[in-house]
Amino acid sequence: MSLAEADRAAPLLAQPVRRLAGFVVDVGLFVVTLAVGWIVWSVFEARVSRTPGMRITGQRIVDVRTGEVVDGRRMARRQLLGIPLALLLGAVTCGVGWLFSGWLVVSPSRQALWDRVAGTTVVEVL
Amino acid sequence: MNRPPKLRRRLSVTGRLCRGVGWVTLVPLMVFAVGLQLVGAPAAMVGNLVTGERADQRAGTPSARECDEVRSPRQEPTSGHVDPDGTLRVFAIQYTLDFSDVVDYATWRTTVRCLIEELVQPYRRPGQPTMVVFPEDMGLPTIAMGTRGWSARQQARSFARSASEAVPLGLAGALGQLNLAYAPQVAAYQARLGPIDPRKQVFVAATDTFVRAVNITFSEIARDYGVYVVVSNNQAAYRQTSNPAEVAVFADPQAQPTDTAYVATSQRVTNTTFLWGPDVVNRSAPDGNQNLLFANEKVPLTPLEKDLIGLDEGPRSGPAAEANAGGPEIAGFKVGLATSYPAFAYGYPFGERPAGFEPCADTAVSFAACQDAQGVTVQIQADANPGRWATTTLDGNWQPLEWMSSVWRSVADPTVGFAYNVTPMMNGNLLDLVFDGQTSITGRGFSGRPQMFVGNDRLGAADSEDLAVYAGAKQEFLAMTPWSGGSGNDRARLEREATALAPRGVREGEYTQTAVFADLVPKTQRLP
Repeated sequence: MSLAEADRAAPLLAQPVRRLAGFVVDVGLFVVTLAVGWIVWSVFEARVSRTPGMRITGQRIVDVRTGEVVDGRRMARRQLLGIPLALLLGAVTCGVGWLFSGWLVVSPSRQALWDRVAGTTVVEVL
Repeated sequence: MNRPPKLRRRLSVTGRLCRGVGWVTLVPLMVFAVGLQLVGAPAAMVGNLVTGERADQRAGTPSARECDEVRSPRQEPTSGHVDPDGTLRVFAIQYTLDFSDVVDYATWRTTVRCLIEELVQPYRRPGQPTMVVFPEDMGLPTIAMGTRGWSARQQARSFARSASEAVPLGLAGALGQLNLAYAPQVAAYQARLGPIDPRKQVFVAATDTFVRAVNITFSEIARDYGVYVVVSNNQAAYRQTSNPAEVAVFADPQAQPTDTAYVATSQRVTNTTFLWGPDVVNRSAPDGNQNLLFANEKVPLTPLEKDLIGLDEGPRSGPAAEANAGGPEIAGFKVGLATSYPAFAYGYPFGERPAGFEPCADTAVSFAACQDAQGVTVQIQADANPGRWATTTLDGNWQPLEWMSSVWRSVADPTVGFAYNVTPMMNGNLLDLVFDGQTSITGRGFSGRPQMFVGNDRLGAADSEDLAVYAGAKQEFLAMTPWSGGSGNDRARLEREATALAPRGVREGEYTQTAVFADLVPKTQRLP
């Protein structure tokens, strides 16, 4: 399948700017709720394949190949393995790894490092 | 079974541009950062294991050859004022800031010990107590020490070292790099003590490095050489730990393997001036503080300290403020520490103390007056003027004339009773930021050869009338260093010389490193 054909076939992958907005909202909620509130909310949102920030900014996590919403195990792999891996990468690379992990979103499949770990991507919810 | 292809969508032109920029910046940076971590820190660790010694644990006196390697090319011999009745000989060190001094703990230790070996030791009088005063911010360059400061040190040698003094992008860039380099410690402290103001977080994160490079290095100098030492640095209070988890996170990689780390106990970062003595006074204190006699927290802070790096002010009122303005008794003098700006803070014009004036009501307004009220006789003004020396300030005043309102006022104003003022000035360009000035020691009632800072022969047309009293040569100067840019009173010419010394000038960074000393005599310590 050519890229042009893939474009037509693919659901609306979330643009990097919207991804960034969702991330900022998640971080903000994490801080404002002293982590606890964000974690509790995340558990509920995980059942419908999204984070609190994604709910507010209209996004959803899907399987990068099928476009289907992912189950709890895949969500856990993304959130509990992928994101800590990015944090660790940042810690051992003087912080550059954090930028690198996020910058990977700027790709045709829109996958940040944690998406690549879990085989997911993010689509816009219309 | 064939796996379905990944969902894909073409990037916009902007997206492709961002991706390209990332490939040429982030990826090499990642490789470089990983290289630093994989090679730099472990290499230092392996080197330490092989040699059996760590760069932060050296002993002995540097050799003449070692001092040759670290000496500033423009170091001049010490000059001073000898008085046979003196009970305390005070040295003011005019250090010239240079990032090559902070490659690692060994180069830093050698540099500061060579300053003592060459500018102090030959001029000491046997049997007489000696005090060595270093400039304000003496510990600042040590934040760029070791592998974590490598990129900042390289920047200081490159074209990117400075943008302009008005918009210090070079400094901002270096601070950004240091925040990245200290990211693991920043993250750990943010989690432990946070939220911490991002402007000062790197100073909290560098606590272990500061303790090794400043507290331990200079407290050892005080003990080894049997002298009193005064040094200033922007840092947090700390404790000592041997908890393996804390050591792994907080100890400087250059010091590994080690079983000790120095951990910030609060996120409060103050411009602290330390005074160490030759003898241990508190065996239970952490390393670097066992011979600490006094520590002053700067108040008031300059706008640069408050707004750019978000430092915390010392106490402004109450018993804590009065204690902060006081100081210990040494060789017949009460020694107080006024770190630059506070030495200007009287709260009233020269000689015009209002009736009922309360000197310690707010030390952010009248620190110097409060210090006098505590009975201080020797005002130590560790100083770093963040700007050109021969220039006009934002207030329109000639800067060296304005400086007289601290170094000379303290011993000439009849409303206070300081006997001496000791002011070592930091010199050198820190990326965009210029540090420049003349080091001096003044004494109340001293009638020596009249001297003045450059360009101070008269009150200029733009100078404030309040400064008239400071113009002209004064007899109270016991010692003064010549200015690196030359001498005389032609302000236009002096300003051109200051430009030449500043970043990208024709004589960039050619500041003089030297010291002055004076014998302080107790009989002049207080006016009736």
